[in-house]
Amino acid sequence: MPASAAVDTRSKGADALLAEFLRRLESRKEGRLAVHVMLSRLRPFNRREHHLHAARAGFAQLADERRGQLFVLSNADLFFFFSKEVEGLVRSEIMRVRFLFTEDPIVAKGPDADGFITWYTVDRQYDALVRAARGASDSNAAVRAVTGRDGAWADLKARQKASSALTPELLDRIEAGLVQADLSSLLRRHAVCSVPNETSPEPRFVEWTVCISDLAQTMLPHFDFASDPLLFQHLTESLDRRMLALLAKPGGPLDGGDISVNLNVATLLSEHFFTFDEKLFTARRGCIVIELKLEDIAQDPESYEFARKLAQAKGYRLCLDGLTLWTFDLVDRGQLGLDYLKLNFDALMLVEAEERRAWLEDAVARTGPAQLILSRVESAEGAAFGRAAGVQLFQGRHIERLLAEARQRRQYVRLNRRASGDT
Amino acid sequence: MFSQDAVAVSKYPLRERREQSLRAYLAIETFSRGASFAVVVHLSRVPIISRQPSLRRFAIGLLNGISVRRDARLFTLARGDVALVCPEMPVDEVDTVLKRIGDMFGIGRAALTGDGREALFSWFDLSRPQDVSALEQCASEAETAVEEGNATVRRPITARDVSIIAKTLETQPVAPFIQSQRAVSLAGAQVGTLFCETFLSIGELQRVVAPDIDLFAKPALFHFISRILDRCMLRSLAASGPQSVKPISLNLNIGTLFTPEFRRFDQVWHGAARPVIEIQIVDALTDTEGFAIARDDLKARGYLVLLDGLTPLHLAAIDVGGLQTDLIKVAWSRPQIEALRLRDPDLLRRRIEKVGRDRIVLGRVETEEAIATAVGFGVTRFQGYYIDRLMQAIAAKRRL
Repeated sequence: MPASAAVDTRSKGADALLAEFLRRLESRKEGRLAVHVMLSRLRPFNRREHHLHAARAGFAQLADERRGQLFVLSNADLFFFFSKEVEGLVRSEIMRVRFLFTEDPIVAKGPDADGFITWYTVDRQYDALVRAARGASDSNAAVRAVTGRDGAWADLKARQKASSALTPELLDRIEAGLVQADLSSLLRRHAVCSVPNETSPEPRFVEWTVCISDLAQTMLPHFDFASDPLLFQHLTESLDRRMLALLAKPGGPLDGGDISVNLNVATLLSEHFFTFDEKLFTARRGCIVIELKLEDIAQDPESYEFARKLAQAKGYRLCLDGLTLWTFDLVDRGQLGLDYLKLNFDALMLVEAEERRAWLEDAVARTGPAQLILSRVESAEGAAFGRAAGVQLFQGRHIERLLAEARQRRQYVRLNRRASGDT
Repeated sequence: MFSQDAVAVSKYPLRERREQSLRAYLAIETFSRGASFAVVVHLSRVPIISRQPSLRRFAIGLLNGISVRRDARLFTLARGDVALVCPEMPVDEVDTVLKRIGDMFGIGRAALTGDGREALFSWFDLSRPQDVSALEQCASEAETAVEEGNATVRRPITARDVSIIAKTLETQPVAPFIQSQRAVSLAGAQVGTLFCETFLSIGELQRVVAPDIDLFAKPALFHFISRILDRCMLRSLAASGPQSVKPISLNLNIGTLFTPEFRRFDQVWHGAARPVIEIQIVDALTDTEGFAIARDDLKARGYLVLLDGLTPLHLAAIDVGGLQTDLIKVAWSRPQIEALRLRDPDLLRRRIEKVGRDRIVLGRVETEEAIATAVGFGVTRFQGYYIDRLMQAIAAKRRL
């Protein structure tokens, strides 16, 4: 699956390309129409990348079919230029985009009071079009002007984020702190369950993680540990060591059923892991699933290959974690010799439901229904979508809710029985 | 490949002895004719051990199992190799363990038994005086090697070092450290330049800014430094402007493509031959969204995008074509190609066909064998020291 449509020109460079295109268009204005979709005016929660991608997809396809020219600007707005013949297609695409964001205040106002879509007949409204393009391109000022409080909020947020990003010096302090820190209070559980019907999840194993935001809050409040993915990666190697120490403790996660932990390939080949492994009862190795990341494997596939064979020979199972709609198809489970693949649920799956379900059905068939885990499932719709595509293993807040409800039901039944016995 | 048994052996207390004692042992011990032998296991030749030193413990654990069960002696040679001296023991028993070590490190059968430079094991028949001398020589060489090695030992980089290096680089002109290496396409006898990769020589720069630090000890921290280096190089290139009509290629981090330094470079180099931007696969997979935006933006501006940092193992396990770059650079690795052929003789060919032969540039070409193997797969684009020498020879011939 492509990471984005081939014609997608969204970027700061696209702003300049649009200006250049408008200059060239000046002598060829006749019969041309344009539409400006002001995605930058959507509320922040509607401007996440998968939303924007969904909004752009139809226009990207029209551009691919050479039915028009698409410009996606740095503030996420899009301009689409087309001729009269394709106006019907463009209007239905606009309807689809409106439908996507029906609940956003800017769209809810309706087409009559439109601050979301502007149509242009290029030969009559060329100057207005150029002004609109310039306004959208001058992104910081423009975004603040058109979105008012939201724009200022986003700017403030971005500035604060930049000032609280993780630096190598902070990393040093955090690493030094981690050597002594007791992370047991920061451990979180996320069950991976088979969900044969809507109400009764059956846990297969429980993923144990350190809650990074709570860790940040404890060690360095106001700093975003994940702001720099590469430095964060460095940090996870220290966290791995602490996690192994926690697992080895009596009364820790290993005293329950099957578990999974996130580790780096380098950790699997370190003295820390060998020491942990040596202290473990042989039979317990089969109860542990080790979760790895694709970028970590790609860092050094030779080390991965070695670590995988070693871990699997001892009885550990391996899972590739963090796959998305964009990365899932890049992976060959057989070649990587993995036991499970974990795919993050994405709200986009529900937006393009038919197409995505067919894709997921195929992914389940290729991977094996007992090997694919649909994770980050936060709603009943997500779980239903996965089940309809043949997914058998799920993880996420919705599954945690189902587990809690099932526990309550069992407790209720026990209490009832006890009450009946008493009478 | 591994068994519970193999791993369990590592729990025995290690009984390694130093090479001085190997020479002393050889001097005093008399070996019976025909049944005594020694094997040197050249662990220093296994690249993964230099990256993950703890793996050495596994290999030694396996050998140690023999010395625990039998009257064999295990000696550590200073370079990291080990010698197992086996008085009157069946060769097969040792051979089984050696085969297991070979499997463990993905070394093919040829390297196990071969007597070539890169063989993992060297056998010595201790009933022959010349073999005993050769083993003594081996111990002496190892001592010399470690003495030389000590002169360049560097401590691993820390997060604090990164900040100090960053400050130094703010004032350090990098132009003297910029180097280039050409990538070419070979079509029959015709050689055409694809691009000249332009890069900062880390080795040269390190001698100036961090002579006592191993910059590569922590990949995450090295990436951070590499982003600083990206910006230094772009500033330098923007100041100099295009110097040649040949397209250049730059290996940049995704984050760098959104910096003022790249915008400035873009303005100055606009109109020069279509540059190639190389992006590391780890960078692309760490931030897939940022990668997609950067890639599409670069293509729209007329750049070619190249996916770098791949080996044959990447080609086998990841559908790298799905990342939609114009070119894909794969580093030559004979051991990996051999290992993949053993797994599935036709796998690499299928992968190369899927990606598209014309998109692949074979990097780190240092031998003619690399070119011959790649041409067998239909790949005709190359980069590496062998190509540099080839181009120098062609240039010299033209001058005559």
